[in-house]
Amino acid sequence: MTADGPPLDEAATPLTEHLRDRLSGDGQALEAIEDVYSPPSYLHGARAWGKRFLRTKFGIVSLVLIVLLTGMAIFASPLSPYNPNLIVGPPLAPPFGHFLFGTDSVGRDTLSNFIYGARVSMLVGAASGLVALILGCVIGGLAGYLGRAADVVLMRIAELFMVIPSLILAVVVVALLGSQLLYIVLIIGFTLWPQEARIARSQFLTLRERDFVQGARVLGFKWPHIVFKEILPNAIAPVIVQVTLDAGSAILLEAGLSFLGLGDPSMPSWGKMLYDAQSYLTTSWWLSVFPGVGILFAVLAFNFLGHSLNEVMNPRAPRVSALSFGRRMVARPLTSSVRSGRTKSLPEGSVL
Amino acid sequence: MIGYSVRRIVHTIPLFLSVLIMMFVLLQLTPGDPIQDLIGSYPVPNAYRQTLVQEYHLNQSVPERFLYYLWNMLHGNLGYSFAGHMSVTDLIMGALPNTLLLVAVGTVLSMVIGILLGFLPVLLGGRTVDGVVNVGVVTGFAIPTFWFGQILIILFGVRLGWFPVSGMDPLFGGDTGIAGFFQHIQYLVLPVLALSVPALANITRVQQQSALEVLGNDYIVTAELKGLTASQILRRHVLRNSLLPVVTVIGYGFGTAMAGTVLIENVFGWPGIGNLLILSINRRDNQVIIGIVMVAAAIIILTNLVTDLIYGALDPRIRAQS
Repeated sequence: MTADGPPLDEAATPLTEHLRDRLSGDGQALEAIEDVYSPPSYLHGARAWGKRFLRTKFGIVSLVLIVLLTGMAIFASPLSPYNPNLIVGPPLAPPFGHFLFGTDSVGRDTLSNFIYGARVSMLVGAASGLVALILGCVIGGLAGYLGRAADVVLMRIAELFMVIPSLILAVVVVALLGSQLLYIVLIIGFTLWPQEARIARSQFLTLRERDFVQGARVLGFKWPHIVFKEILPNAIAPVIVQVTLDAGSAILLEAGLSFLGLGDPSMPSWGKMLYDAQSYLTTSWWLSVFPGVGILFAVLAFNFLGHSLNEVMNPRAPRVSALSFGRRMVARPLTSSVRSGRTKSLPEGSVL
Repeated sequence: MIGYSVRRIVHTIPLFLSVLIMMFVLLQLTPGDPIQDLIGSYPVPNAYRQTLVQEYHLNQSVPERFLYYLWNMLHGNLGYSFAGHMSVTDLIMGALPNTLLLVAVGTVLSMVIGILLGFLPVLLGGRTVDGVVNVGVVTGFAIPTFWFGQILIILFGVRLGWFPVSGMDPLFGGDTGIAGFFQHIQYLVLPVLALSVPALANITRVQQQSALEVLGNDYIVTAELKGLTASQILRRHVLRNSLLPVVTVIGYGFGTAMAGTVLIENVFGWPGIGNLLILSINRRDNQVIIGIVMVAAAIIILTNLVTDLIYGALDPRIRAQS
């Protein structure tokens, strides 16, 4: 029996008891049942998992970036040379002098604002991702598990949210209801969940019919066990990949909102810095360049993380193998061999 | 094909209605009193207040007001903008062509370049080309478009002085005729470049994946065995068949561009509906805000519909499925 296998012992229902009685002494039959019953878990063996993650193309890069940015967000106050809200120098002082990133139009230190700006971005990325994860799993899971009318209605709602572009919806809601950080996090999560829901739905749809789920049903387990212990652990991997990618979108959305003057006014943020920079583009390039690079790297960090997780959790996904396959097909056999008339001696691995 | 088209067209009606309902609910949740907003802080007699309430049907129930709004909208009336002192429809229609110009040019550009870029790794093979294109795609997805616009302004507008940095026409003494046309294009270059980055990245990625997928098919092997040259196979079989999935993301790209234009128009001072939206938000002109969302949603739903119909016409399998 695997470590995360089913609780066949103390928590057994009358039906399992009955089955076990009948099967006792017949080891083969029990094994056969367990084979059917133990779910193919993606998450077993944390160490092997970690090793594979670090071996992916962008695994280490994403990890380093996220640790750096999160560290910057958490330790913003000891790291910043000045208070980001105070006037500490002449207005529009150029960078690489006394002030490493220069100063803004009223003389606040750009570097300090940059460091504090990581807070909003990382917070919004993580929190909105979480909102999207929960909403997507609940709605998509319900749609996939229940099927029929519930499926149609819930997926229509998801489609509705996909029609209105996230940014426009977020802009309008924040403009009408207010721009506290909590609202921004919730709204962004609300505009992102349909992607997660679609993936969760298709996972639930297929897993519901798999043998190990049917097995659990036959053994008399109620739906909470089937949904949370059997289906969800196996359905969650691709949803988490999507959430990681969407955390990047959340950061972009927050930056966009702040750039339009709709961010939380009480916290320094990269988008707000770009909003302030807009009036000084002709004279002070540093006001625009540094915060933009911050946003770019924060989004890249989450996107890289998503791609690496995808590679680890979903090893059969076509991406990389398709690329190398295409290269094989095109770079060597097709172009070179066909042209030179050597069609017979194709290298190994070709479809021929 | 006709059945499929009718189904697709009917499908859009509830979608559009739900967007409208959502906006309506949102307005109900908005704090503040619209009549008070209208009057301002100046004291007015109660009778005047009552007339206003009557005039704007605010004494009726929410469903009644919804039907009233829907009726007006079907007649092309989206309400009155108090800040702009004109009808919302006129206000939006004045700005919409400018936005559509930006979005359409951006979509066409990202389509052409995206297909070329996505086909490049297949055409040339080789690790380097593939790597360069992939890095470009990843960066294109992560770069904030409005920041990219600012950087373009700093580089090509301010430093090099090649392109104007704001607006869509010179304030004084614009040229006419052919010269005027080229002057327009000058104003168009930077905003279109900034706007089309995400769509470009998306189309490139989809084209690349789809071309590689087509390469794995048996009919490519057949073509190879028939003795077609590599360029014939790539042109006739791979390119043509790999273009199909790209059609689906063009509609999506149009939607992203419609959203992106809100940011880009504010970077470049482009007089479109994105600029109008932010202006209306700052003026608390809710009628205009809702009107813009509805117009944008209608355009996006329509583009999606057209893409679906084209896709259905191109690929019989899709028609059979739905």
